[in-house]
Amino acid sequence: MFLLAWRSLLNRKIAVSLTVLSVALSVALFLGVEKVRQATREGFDSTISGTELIIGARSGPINLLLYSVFRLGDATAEISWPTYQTIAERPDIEWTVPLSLGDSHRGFRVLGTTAEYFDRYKFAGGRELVFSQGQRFNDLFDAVIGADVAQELGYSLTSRLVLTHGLAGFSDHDNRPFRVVGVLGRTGTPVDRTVHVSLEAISAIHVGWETGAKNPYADRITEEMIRSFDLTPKSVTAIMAGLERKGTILRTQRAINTYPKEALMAIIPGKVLADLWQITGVVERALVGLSLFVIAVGLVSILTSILTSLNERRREMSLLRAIGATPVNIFKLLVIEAGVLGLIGAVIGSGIINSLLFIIAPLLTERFGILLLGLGLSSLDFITVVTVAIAALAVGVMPAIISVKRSLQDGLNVQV
Amino acid sequence: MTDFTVDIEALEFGYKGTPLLIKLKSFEVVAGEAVFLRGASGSGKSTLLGLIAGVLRPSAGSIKVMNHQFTALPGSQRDRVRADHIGVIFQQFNLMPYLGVIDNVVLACKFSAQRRKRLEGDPKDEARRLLSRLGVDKTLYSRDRVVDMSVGQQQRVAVARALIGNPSLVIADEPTSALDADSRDKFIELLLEEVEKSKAALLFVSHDPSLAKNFHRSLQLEDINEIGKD
Repeated sequence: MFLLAWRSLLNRKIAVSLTVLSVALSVALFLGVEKVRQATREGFDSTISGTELIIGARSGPINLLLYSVFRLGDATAEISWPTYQTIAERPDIEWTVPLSLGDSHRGFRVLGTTAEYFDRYKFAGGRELVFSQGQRFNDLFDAVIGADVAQELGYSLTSRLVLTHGLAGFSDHDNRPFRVVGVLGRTGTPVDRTVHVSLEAISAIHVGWETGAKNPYADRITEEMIRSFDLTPKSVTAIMAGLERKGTILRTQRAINTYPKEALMAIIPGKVLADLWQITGVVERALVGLSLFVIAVGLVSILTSILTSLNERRREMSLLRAIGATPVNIFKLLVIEAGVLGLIGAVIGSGIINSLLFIIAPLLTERFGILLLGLGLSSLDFITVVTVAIAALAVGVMPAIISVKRSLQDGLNVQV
Repeated sequence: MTDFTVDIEALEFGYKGTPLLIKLKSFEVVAGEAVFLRGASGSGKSTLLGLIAGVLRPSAGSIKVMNHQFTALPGSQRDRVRADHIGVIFQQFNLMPYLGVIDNVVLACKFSAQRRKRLEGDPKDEARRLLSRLGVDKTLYSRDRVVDMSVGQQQRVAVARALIGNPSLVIADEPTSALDADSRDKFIELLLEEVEKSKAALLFVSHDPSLAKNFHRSLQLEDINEIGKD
C-alpha cells in the first residue's frame, strides 16, 4: 500500500513537489520563529548568573541590563566614583565590580573593570570564566580579550591593539597601545566579544580627551607621564554587586534606588529579564500563532492537491477496486499519501530552517551581538515533524472518504 | 451435481431511487466454461458484471460466486471473493499508469493472500512466465510506466494480471473494442487458450456477435434480462 501511494505521488511529481514545498516552508517558518525565540531567551538567560544586583544611573531597568550585561545600547549617565565607593562599603553588600563602558576596539566593546571581575562574572548557571591563554591584566596597558575577539581579529598573547574613543571608530587613541595578556575561553556570552582592561586604563586613554575631543597636546603626553598621573576614575558606568545575605535584597535595592545624593537604580537581573520576556511575550505569541496558521495553510494545500487529483484518479480507484482492493485499501492509500506529503514536507522544512539558522546565527551575533544558544536539531523538530505528519494523515481522511464513497457508487468500471 | 462458478437466480437490481435495471430469472457459468454474453450498450451488461464481481449489491434474489452467496455477504467479504477468485479485463485503462509491467501484474496478488498462496514461486517470476506466454515483448518489462505501450500490449498485460494466481473466473468487458480487427482475433484466441490452461471460467461480454465463434456458449443479455423487454 505504501509503495502504491509512493509511486502514485511520484507520478504527479510537479504538483506533489509544490505541495511538499508549501508544507516545508510553513514548517520552516514555524520552527524558525520558535527556535529563534527559544535561542534568544536561552542566550540572554544564561549570560549572567551569581550577580544579585546591577546598579547604574537611573534610567530604565531593561536599558540598564542591556547595556551593562549585554553590551547593547549605551548608558545615559554614569555613577560618580565617590558614590561607587559609598555603595561598595555598605555593610549589606559583600562584593562589587565596577564596569566602565563606552570605548571600542574594531567593533568590539571595551570594558574597564577590576581584576575581581574575572572571579565574580558567572554565566550559564554558575560557570566561571577561564583563560585559554595567559592571565588577568596587571599592568596599566594590559588587555584581556574574549574568544571571538581573538579569533576574528587573529590576536594572541602579546598582540598590540589600539582602543577607539566611543563606538564609531573615527578617532583612535593611537598613542596608547595595549598589549594582550590573556585570552578567555569561549562562553557563548557577550564576554566573547569584549576587550577587558583595568579601570585605570580607561582613565589613561582619556588623558588629553577631557573635552570629549582630542586635545592638540595629547600626542605629546608620554607613557611615563601617564603612569605618573592619578588615574582614579571619576565615574563608572555600572556596578555588579553581590550581597552578604540574599534575604536583604529588596531592602538593599530600595536603599540604592532612594540614594539621596545621586539618581541611582538597582536591578535584579533575573527579574528584569523576566519582565523583558513578558513584554516581548505578546509579540512572540502573536508570531507563533501566526506561524501555526501558516502550517494550517500548508496542510490545506495537501487537502487541495489530493482533492483536485481525485477526479483524474477516479478510474485508477475503480481499477484498484476491480483488482480486489477493499474500500479500506482505498482509504488507506489516500490517507498514506497525505501523511507522506506532510512527513516529507515537514522533514524538508526542518532541514531548511536548521541549515539557514546554522548560517544566520553567527551573522546575528556579529551584527547585533545577539547570542543564539541551543540551536540545531532538537526535540522540537522531531515533535513538529511527527505532529505535522499526523495532522496530514487526519487531513487525508476527508478526500479518502469522498473517494471511497465514489468508488462504491462507480461500480466495476468507470469509463470517464 | 454441476459445479457452478456463477449461479444467479431471480436476481433484481436497480440503483437507489431508480427503476430496476436488471431482472434475471436465472443465469449460470459452469466451472471452466467460456461464455460469450452479447449485449448492446445500455443493456445493463456493466451493471450485471458489477453484480457478479461483487462491487454492486443485488436488490433482491440470489447470486452465488464460488458458492458465496453475495446477497447475504457484506461488502468487505464480497471484495475478498473478488480479489481471490475473479480476474477482470476492461476495454481500456486496465493498468495503473505509474507502475511498471511486472508491478501491474503482481498487483493482483497484493490484495489477495490466496492468490499468493496458489503460486508456487515468486509472484514476479510467475508474472514473467505469463507475460512471455502472452507474447508481451520482454524489453518492455523493465519500463517504469506502462502508459507508452501499445493498447494491444497493454491488454495482454491485463490478461496476465487477471490470470495470475489462478482465479476461477475471468470477466472480460469489451476487452477487444480498442483493438483493430487483426489483433482482435489473435487476442481472443490467446485469451481463450490461456484461460483454458488455467482452468478458469470466462465470461466475455461484447456487443460484437462476430466474436462469439470460439466460445462454448453464447447468449444475448436482452434475451435473459426481463427489463427492457417490451
